[in-house]
Formats: sequence, C-alpha cells, structure tokens
Amino acid sequence: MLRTPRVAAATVDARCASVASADAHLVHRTAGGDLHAFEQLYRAYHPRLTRFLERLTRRPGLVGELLNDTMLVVWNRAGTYNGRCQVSTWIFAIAYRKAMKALQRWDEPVGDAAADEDRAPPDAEPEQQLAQSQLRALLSGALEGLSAEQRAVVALTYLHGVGYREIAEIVGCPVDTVKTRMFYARRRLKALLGDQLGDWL
Amino acid sequence: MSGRVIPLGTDIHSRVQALLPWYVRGSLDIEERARIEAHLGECALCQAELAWERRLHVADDAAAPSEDVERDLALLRERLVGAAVPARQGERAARLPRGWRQGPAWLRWALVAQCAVIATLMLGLFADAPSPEQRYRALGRHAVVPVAGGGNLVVRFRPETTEQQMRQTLRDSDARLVYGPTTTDAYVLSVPAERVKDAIGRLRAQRTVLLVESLDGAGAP
Repeated sequence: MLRTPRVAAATVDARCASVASADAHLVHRTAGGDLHAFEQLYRAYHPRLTRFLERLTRRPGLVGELLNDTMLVVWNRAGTYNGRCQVSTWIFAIAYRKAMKALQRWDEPVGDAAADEDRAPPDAEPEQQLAQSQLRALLSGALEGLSAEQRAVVALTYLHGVGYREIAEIVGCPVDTVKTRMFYARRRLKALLGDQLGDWL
Repeated sequence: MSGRVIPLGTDIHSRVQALLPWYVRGSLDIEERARIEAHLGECALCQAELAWERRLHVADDAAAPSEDVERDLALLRERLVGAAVPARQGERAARLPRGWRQGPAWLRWALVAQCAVIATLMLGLFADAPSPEQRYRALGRHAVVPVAGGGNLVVRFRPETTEQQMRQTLRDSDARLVYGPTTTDAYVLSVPAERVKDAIGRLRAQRTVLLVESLDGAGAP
C-alpha cells in the first residue's frame, strides 16, 4: 500500500516520538538506580556515540574510554535530566564536552589507518572493500583538515542526521555559529577532496 | 575555532549552500525546504553544490564504525561497582540528616532499635563468614566471584528497605542470604541453579530491590 509523503512523515515522526519517549523512560528508571534500564540505554547509544566520537576525536583508541566516561555521567546524573530536550541531545552534549576536554589534554596527532581498514563489512566483495577502504581513507584525510568543532557539526549532520538547531543545543553555541561552521567545513572539505570524491562513486 | 559567529555572505547562494547538508539529509523544516527548492530550480551554481553534497553524503555513509558493545559495557560495569547511585538517590541521601534531626524522637529510637536488630540477625547469619579471598569483588559477570555457600546472585536493596521487607523479598524469591553487606551494600544470595532466571525476574519486580545481577551470567539483561 502506497503512503503519501505526509502520512509517511507522520509515521516517522510518531516513531521518533515513541523512541524519544522510550529513551526518557529509560533515563527515568536509571535515575532510580535501575541497572537493567541503564544497560538498555547503553546498548542503544553505543553505536551512535562510537561513530560520533570516532569522527570527532580521530583517535580510535580513545573512543571506548570517552564513551564510558559519557555513560558514567548518564548513570550518575540521570536524576538531573529534566526532559526539556531530547535524551539524545542531552547524551550527545555530554559526549561532546567529554571529547573536547580530552582533545585539549591529548595533543598528539593520530592517524589509525589500520583501524580504518578493518571496517569494511565482512561479506563485501574484495573490489568493493578496496573501494570503500580507499574512499574512507580519502574522507578521513580530508576530515583531518577540519577543526574539532567543525568535525562535531559535520559528524552530527552527516552521520546522525541531526538538525542545526539541535546541534546548537548539543555543542552549546548559537544556531548561526553552527551554520557558519558547516559552511566553512564544507568549503574546506571541497578544497581537500576536490573532484576525487566523484571518482570513487 | 571559537564560538564566534563569522557572518556568512549575504547573497542567497551562500545562505542556500550553508543549508544544503541538512537539506540532503531531510532535517530542514517545510518552509526552509521550499525556499531552497525554489532557488535550486533557477540556479545552476547551487545545483552543482547540491550534486557534490549528495556525493559526500553517499561517501560518508560508507564509513562504518568499529565497535564492541559488550566489551565496553563490561568495562563500564567495573567502574559502576562502588560508584555513587544516581543523583536523585544521592540527593535523597543528602537530605536524610536534616529529616533525621527534624523527625520525632521516638522515630529515631525506633530506627536505632531496628538497625540493632538487623545487625544482630546479620551477625547470626554470617557466623561462618567467608575468608578474605572468598569475598565478592565485582558486579561484572566476567569477574571471579568465589563465594562460600554457592552464592550465585548479587542484590542491592533500596536504602530505606526494612529488615522485614528484606526477609520477605528473599522468601518470595526462594533465595538464601550467603554473604553481605559488601562495602557497596550489596548482598550475595544463593538460589537453586534451575531457578536463577526466575529468581532474577522476581527480585527485579520488587520495589525494594535496586539492582540484581547473576554472578554466573545467567538471566543477564
């Protein structure tokens, strides 16, 4: 049965609202010391936080620790979540602050090409694996040329589909700053990638 | 880059191009979409930018993360042992002394008497307490927990739980107290091996129980 875009959008909205409500419920239970609820929340956010922190920090070896630092704050401060923003916004804001603090402390350059090469799906064809690996290396190199703040905006937008207003809440800056960071990040990426992007697609 | 705002160009192209990443990913509202589509319909420059943006979108989707949820969760469980309970309960604990001081005298004495009874019962129960190397060490299921008497569950009760409620909870779950309280106020329980999962379910359903975990991995969430 075909659905109109409006019906489809309403369905997606309803699903998102349902997920947001479920997340809020889990946070509420976590605030009461429910470890089972916390672990559900952990498993739900682990993949998203991993991608975000990898993209933001460019330090794969640091991601697991930062992720757990973030979730430890969620466990300890679940009672302070007031429901004014989405749970995802709250958790990503914690992760962002943790990552930025860590980046201030850890100043050495990191480029873990080996970790990148391990990420191709195991069932992918060899040629496809090679193309994906080269594409990731290309993109990874280009992202290295951005500031951490720009990478955060790029990651939240490109990987997680977060709107610019919510990004402004997560990184704690005005909406126009988010747009500006994206504008200059795009320009930088375009200069670094040039026409190479099209060659792989 | 600081939080300062560098103004984008005032021309329509800059403003449209700044929003293209969110346009491609469908996270703009209807009005913004309409404005961008109206401009794209008549601007070849911004159409080229849109095409590049779509290529970047596809390329970025190819980058999958490396992750091991259970490994990371096991590491976090180790850090949770001994960590403070969530803030709401911490706040409640912080309020306790004021309530304690303001409450009626008979209530304070009743609580002291109750604590004394609990302590006496605990002493009786743990006359054959385990040796130091047999003590419960961590909540993580991977942790080595050699406990005397075959303990296979660890449980934490809410701070306000009375001794009577604890006894009732153990009876309802067919569980026997093996050891505790630990330094984190956890108790090690023993239940028949075939009833571990059932006991975990019953204990989790109790309002008096803060958390319950299997020491051998059974019934883990």
